Amino acid sequence: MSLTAEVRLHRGELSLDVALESADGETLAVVGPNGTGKTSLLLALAGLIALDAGRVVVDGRTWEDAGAGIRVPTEQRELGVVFAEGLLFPHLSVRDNVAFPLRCRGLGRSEARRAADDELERLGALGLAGARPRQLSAGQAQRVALARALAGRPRLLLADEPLAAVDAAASAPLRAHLREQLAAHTGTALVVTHDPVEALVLADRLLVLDGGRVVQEGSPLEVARRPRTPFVAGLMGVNLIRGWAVGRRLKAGSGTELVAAEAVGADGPAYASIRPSSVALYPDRPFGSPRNVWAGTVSALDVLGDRVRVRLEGDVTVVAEVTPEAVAELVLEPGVSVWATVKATDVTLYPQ
Amino acid sequence: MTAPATASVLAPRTRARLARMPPVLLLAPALIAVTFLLLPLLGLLVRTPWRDVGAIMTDPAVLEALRLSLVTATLATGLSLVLGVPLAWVLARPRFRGRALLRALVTVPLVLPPVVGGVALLLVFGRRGVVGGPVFDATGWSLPFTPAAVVAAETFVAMPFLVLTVEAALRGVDPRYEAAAATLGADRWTAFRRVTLPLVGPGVAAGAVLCWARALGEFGATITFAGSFPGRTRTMPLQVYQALDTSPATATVLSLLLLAVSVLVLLALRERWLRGELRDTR
Repeated sequence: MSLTAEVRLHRGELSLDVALESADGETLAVVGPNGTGKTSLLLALAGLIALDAGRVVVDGRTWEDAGAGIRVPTEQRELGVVFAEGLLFPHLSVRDNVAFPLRCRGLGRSEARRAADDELERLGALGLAGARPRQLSAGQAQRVALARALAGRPRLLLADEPLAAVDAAASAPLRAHLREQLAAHTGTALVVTHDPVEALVLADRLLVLDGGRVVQEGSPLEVARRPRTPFVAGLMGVNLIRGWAVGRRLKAGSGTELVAAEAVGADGPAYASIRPSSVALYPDRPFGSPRNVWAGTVSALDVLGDRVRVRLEGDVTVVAEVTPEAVAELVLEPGVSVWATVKATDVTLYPQ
Repeated sequence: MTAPATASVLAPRTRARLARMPPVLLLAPALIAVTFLLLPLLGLLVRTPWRDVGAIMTDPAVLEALRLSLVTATLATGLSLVLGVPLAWVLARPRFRGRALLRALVTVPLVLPPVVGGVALLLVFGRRGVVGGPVFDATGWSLPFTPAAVVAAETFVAMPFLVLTVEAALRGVDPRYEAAAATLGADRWTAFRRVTLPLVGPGVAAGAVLCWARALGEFGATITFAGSFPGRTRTMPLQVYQALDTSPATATVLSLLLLAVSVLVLLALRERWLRGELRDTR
């Protein structure tokens, strides 16, 4: 089961040009800022938006080929889609919602209902079978939406922000459930999300979209360690510094040099990535083993759970992650000058 | 508490109550309007010869008119459902040039004097009509002045009520439900039948009730296009009109009956709308 697609289309301000390929049973996550074409890509694969150019081939079947004038209608594409809002049919019970794709494939009413019950049981939601969609919590509704999308044994499973409408407490178990189901799904799956955790947990491969183009592609680990755009860096919560690498050193735009433990392959334009938790702050210039020391001014503070993210403007602009105790002891507030240090081993250097 | 020098002498609560009260310039005409609308109905109740109700309601001519009215109004509603629901879908869903114009044309019968509608129907379906002429020449059958003509006249006048109600309901249904149905393998007809139609069910019911009530009361187009033949085309409103000359008591009782039907329809719709509102806020 494979997916090959080239999607080119224009919709208002958006111009989308994406090529993607996916092998057997792989889960792709498409991440990117809002309005960058993630959902349009998903709708195009589903056949709900026509391509201006390009093609979509699933399991050797051509679903769409703009050049050849081929366009298989959505209902014949053997798809499953989990929408952000679930879109369960409000007039049907959970059981009949899940039976819907089966009935569309020609099963009789009682046969489809039995199969729907089986599917619900497999997904641990048989207890909801008799309920109406409006009686479900957002998390339950998405579970049912997933069961409905999978019930027809789709060749391609698409999910558009499947956890967006679910509150934080319910999203963790649902995410685990989703990962299980995606792993069990033999066809290709494509999940559109703006949530980095969701992308990292669910995906075998990450596709970063910005301005309608793929700006980075790779395993979640690779993308998290070596982001290539400020957006990805922000998404993954790491500092990205652009500069010119010579050996183990990166000359940043401001003239400050950062030292890494390992050299980048060839000298030239490069990135350094630094995790916020690797940045230590001092009230006075420290003397010690860290190779990277520079001065900066606190410009903003963000509380993030039991950590505080401190934004530092200076020779190198970075975000440091410290404890609330440290904020209190160093009296960190906007305008305060501090020194930042990072060990060379905590700086990852890679070419642009 | 010392009030500022510019404050009104009225206590704050009194001032608030006065602000909530509608101005007399609006209130007085509104009261007159209510009186004007309700007084005739009260008059009908007051002048009803209650002792004769039994006799009038068992009069064969009255029963005949009642039966004819119920049958034709129901048939007209059925015809309006079969033709009008698809028309409402065409007006609500696909985007095409001239849709606004089509909607305007379709709703003309709403504002057209019914007698004009009757004349127009005659011109098209009469023995010398554009369509009726060739049909009469070929088969010797013509539509006007038959019970079928009553149904046609009622459908002509009443169907727009159904079309507009159903169209509004269709617009209220998130089109993404149809998209979701398509991703699950439903073609457009299946999606319409199994998703869209059930979702607009309340709207279709309300439209059908409105349509039926309008058909039941139809007078102008019916008398012009179908005439007033006892037992064949003389519906209740026509019977009322007929009786006004000969037996005012009968006219009053029949009017009261039609009024009762209207009130029932209103109550049914009110119930419908109330439930709809409750569901929306859930």
